[in-house]
Amino acid sequence: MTAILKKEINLFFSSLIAYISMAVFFIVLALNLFIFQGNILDSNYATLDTFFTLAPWILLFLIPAITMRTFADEKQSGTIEFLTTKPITDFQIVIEKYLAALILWTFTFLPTLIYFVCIKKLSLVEAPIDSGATIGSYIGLYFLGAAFVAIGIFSSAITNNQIVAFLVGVFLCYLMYDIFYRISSLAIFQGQLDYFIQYIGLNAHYDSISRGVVDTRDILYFLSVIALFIIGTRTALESRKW
Amino acid sequence: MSVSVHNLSKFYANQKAVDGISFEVKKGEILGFLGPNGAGKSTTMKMLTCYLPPSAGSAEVCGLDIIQQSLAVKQKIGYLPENNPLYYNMYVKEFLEFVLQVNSQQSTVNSNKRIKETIDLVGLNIEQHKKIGQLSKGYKQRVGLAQALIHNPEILILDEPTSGLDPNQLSDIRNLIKELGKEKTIIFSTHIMQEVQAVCDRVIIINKGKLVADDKPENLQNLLSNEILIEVEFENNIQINELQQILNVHLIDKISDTNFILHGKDSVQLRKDIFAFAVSKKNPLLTLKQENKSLEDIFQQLTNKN
Repeated sequence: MTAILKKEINLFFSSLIAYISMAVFFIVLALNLFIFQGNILDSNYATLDTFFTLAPWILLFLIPAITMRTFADEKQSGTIEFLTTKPITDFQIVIEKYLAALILWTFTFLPTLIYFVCIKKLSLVEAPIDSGATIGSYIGLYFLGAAFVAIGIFSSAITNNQIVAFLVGVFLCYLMYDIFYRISSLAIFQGQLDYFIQYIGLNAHYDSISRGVVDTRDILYFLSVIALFIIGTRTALESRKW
Repeated sequence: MSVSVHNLSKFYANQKAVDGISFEVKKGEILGFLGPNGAGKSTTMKMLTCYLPPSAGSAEVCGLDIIQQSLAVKQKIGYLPENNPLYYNMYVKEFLEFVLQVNSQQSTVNSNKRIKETIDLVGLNIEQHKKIGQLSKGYKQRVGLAQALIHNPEILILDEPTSGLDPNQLSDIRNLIKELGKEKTIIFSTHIMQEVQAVCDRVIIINKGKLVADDKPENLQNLLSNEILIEVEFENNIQINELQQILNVHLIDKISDTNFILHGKDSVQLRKDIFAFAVSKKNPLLTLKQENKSLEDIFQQLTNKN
């Protein structure tokens, strides 16, 4: 039942992929949060806003890089034929591969909880950090990453070239994250459709959860995006039969 | 019937890769699948293993339909795809364990025992602790066979299992296929004719997606052997037009001034005539050898017809 999941996780952790992805995410964000100009020690506010603004932009590149080989590599080397002629459904292959990448994202995500603890300890006053909003932002960020993973494996399933998979992945993640927000701020949509257009994108829902209110509609939205791209991935995998 | 195929076809945009093929394979039979490159051998195998759906027609594996019951079909089949794709960064044992798990969908209690048996069977013993990427081509091929065998399937479908191996490895793999064929149904494709003669119970030849022959190797040989070839060697030079005087000779291939291959009918009379001819010319006959048409000739004749 979990053979492919195990194989994929082994691959992440027996190569450098997992460690590099964890290190990159943790270090780049820590540098921006604590050391570089505009860090929280200078600003004197106990908030993780810098982290939550920057993190999606790093994930935009990091997650497609993690997922680019998922299917592209198997298609390139022909092992996909080997895998799809085993007694498992295409859907199961997709799900197990998605879960493996999701677990790697979880391991990349978890160390960043240290920032929260640090800031809590660093502050001088009582109740220094808005815990509700911060926890909300963490939940939002996790779902955002989970959605990017789904987009990433979809991009990998539509090509047999890993670089193409990466570039398409970055583009689709950007499209889903930011483009709708940009479009909604165009003059022609002002006051009319801007609200709806904005809510097609991931950004609006991420911000919404970040305020500390975990709305089921936002969670449902993230789950729908994930489901959509997982189904897309399966369709891409089955396209050999067309 | 282990495998039965009815009018199986696969069309791509403007090409018929497989065009209405029908055949049956009995349990325990070793079927050789022959055809020139691009004839549709691999496509047929991909359809039987449920990798590609047929455009028309149907096929059953152990009584199970390849479209309706594909999961059950996949469980019955061990498949070695063309070019033998493997995960090069996995260790041999790790890989075989993975394949066993994917096949059985639950952790098998005896998995270690089964892996060991399979490694012994395909002769991977000395290389079993290496990464697959480090193995030589012959050993990679054995890993490919091992992964097809590990879940003890009833049917083995091997797409060019012997391509690119050295002569020793070739005979090892052939012996293995023969050995396995005692219990299992095997369909394998190849370009090498001697292999067919050595290993197969039955041969299917396909060309341009169509079935052109389906018979035992020895019957195929008889199929076209109403014409015989006789190799002759004379001591002294002789002209072709002189040789044409011999009755029943249709065609003469000149090898050298003294060596020729004569194509003709009715071997006994023809050989007598050749002898008489040599006597009449006072040109001693050094060699008189009848050759059977080889499978290679039959293959060429069948596949070049159109």
